[in-house]
Order: sequence, then structure tokens, then C-alpha cells
Amino acid sequence: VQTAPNDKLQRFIGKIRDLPTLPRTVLRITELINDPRSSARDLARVITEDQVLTARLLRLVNSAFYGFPQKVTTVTGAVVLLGFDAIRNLLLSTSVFDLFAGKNQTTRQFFETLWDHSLACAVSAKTIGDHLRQDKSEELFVAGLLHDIGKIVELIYLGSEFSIIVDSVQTQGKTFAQAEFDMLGCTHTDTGQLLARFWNLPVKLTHAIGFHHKPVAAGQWAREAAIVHLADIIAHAVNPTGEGCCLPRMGEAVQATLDLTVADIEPVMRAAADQFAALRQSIQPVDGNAR
Amino acid sequence: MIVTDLNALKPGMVLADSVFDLHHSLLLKAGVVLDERRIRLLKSWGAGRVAVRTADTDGTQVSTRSAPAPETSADAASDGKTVQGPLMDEIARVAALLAMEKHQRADSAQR
Repeated sequence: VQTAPNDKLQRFIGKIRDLPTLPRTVLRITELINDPRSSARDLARVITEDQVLTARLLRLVNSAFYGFPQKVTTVTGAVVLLGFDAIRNLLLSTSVFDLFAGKNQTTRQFFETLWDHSLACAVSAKTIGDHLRQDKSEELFVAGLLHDIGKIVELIYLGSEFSIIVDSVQTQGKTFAQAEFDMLGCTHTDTGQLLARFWNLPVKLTHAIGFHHKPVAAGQWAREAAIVHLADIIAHAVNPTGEGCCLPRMGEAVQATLDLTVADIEPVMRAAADQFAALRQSIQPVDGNAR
Repeated sequence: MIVTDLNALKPGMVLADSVFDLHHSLLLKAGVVLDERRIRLLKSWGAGRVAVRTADTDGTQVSTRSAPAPETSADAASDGKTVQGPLMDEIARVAALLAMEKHQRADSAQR
């Protein structure tokens, strides 16, 4: 956004006068992420103050996705089992989606499709990270879950222009990014990065969101961006989002950046498909208006 | 699941497999109910044969992937959305394989 300002984009940003703010609890969690002195106990205390987060965390930790043999009944128990990173990231990212869930009946279908795709991308990114023995694969999960957050911004703020973008993807065979660029002069990677910065999310995350279509431009975070880029493609493959939709183009440098071979693909995709099926049952956004 | 010629397709049939073109672009998703428009689209894309679900499926007939369509003007308009390459080929192959296995499981569950 900062490197390529233009009139259309500036006009669109001007429209976004009322970007949604994160709930107070999530703000606290974001602060904890950025504070190296924060502890698991701090996190447990913040979570237990919020019934929705508490219920969600306990449902998650007891889900087939994690497959622990014994039932976990306390937040502290969940923190000990899953670890600080996993919990803070999961709660942050699912809460972000809560903000938008149930906003508008007419946009519900697009939102649900996007949620499904985002979850598939999150699981795929974590699976690729685990396969490549990447540190902190939980961060990749969050990056995957939030990679298309800019589309939600557009969905909410563009109105009829957004319908035109979706229509031109379906009827003219444009890529989503091309259709966005023709309409706005920017794409969801720009708007997503804008929102992530507005929320003061960690810089690694803002880069993964902003460069998931061109990872080589992400500088020191090129590897994370490349993983999200590949995860985006795999998510479309294991969970096709609809007719007229294509597998995104794979950047040439991805294979070299990640040192992946053809033999890596099937185990990664099988694991991603299994985990997506397991997780989808236990993690859903809640209606933001019901909070 | 049966694999059938485009000429034998009728409105109301349900795709058993997603249909991809040679560039791995998804044309129609598995589970889509065919109508006249979609059948016309499949023909215009040049798809050869596609897999459809049958009411009395025995789950023994297997298609590893939907018939790929040759490059058409629809692909040319896609502005190079997809690239050829061994990794993309493998992703498309595994996607078709996973879709097929899913339908086989669903078929067995129905029996």
C-alpha cells in the first residue's frame, strides 16, 4: 500500500472510515503476543474473562483435531497442553472472523465460503510448515486463516462494486486479483495488509497477508509468504470453492524457496485434508452481533 | 458413480467428480447438479467425459479423474491463472484422487 499509492486506492481507503475494531479481549491477546514477558498464566486469565473464548478453547482442545485421550475441562489445562503460542494464535484469528460473521444476510454465503477456504488454507499452511520442520508453525496457521482478510474488508465496504468483482470473476474468467485491480486499483492483499497494520498485528503476519500472491517481494519473510502462497493453492485443491474458480498461479520461486519436491505434495495434501475435516467441525465463527 | 459421455448428460444429474481443465482450473465442482446451462458449458469447454453419480451406485466403477478439457478460449481468457509444472500437476492429481476417495467413502456409507 505504501509503496504503490494511487488515486483509486486512496479513494477506497477513504471510504473505510470505520474499520472494525477488535474486541477488548482480543486486543489484550494481541498485546500479549507482542510482549515477550507475558506468560501462560496471563493468557489463561484473559481468556477466562471471556465466555465465548473460553467455550471455544475448550471445544477446540477436546476436538478430534488434537485428539487428546482425556477430556480437558479447564483453561489452564488447555494452556498447558496446547502451549502458549497455539492458543493465543487460534483465539486471535478466530476472533477476527467473529467481527465479521453475521454482519449482513446477503453477504453471508460469500463469508461462509471464505471462512471455509481460510480454514483450509490455515490447516494447509501449518501442515506444510510441519512437513518442512519450520519453526512456529502455529503462526503459519494464523497467517493462512487471515490471508484473505482484505476480501472481507471489500465485501463490507464496497457494496455493489464488490458484486461486480465477483461477477467478473465468474463470467469473464478473470482472476480475483485482476478483477479487484481493474475496479479498485488495488487487491485484497493491499486492503488486508492495511487492516492488519491498523490492528497492529505482528509484522511477520502483515507481510504474509500482504505478499501471499508474490512471496518473493516479502523480503525476510519470503519463506512464510511462500508457504501461505502454496497453502492457498492446496486449499483450493482440497476444498474447491466453486465453479469458475481456478487454482491460483504458483509463483516460480516457490519451489526453490521452500525446497519442495513432487514427493512432498501427496503426504502434505492428505494431512491437510484430514485435519481440515476434523477442525471444521469444532471451529466456527460466532455471530459478532451476539457478543 | 458412472463415467459418461457429454451427449448422455441430462439435467438433474449430479457430478461425482470435480471437472478440471488441462491447466488445473476448476470448471465445475463435484456435487453440482447439472442443468442445461452447465451441460452447454461443459460442451463448450470441450470436456470429453465426466463422472456422474447414480442412484443405485455400487461404488465399484472408478474414474481417477474427470476428463480434462483441451485448451479453449475460456482458458485463454483466464490470463495465465495457472502455470504448468510438476508441483502443480501433482497438486491437481492428488486433488482428483482425494475427491474420488471421498466419493467412494460416501458411496459405501450409503450402501
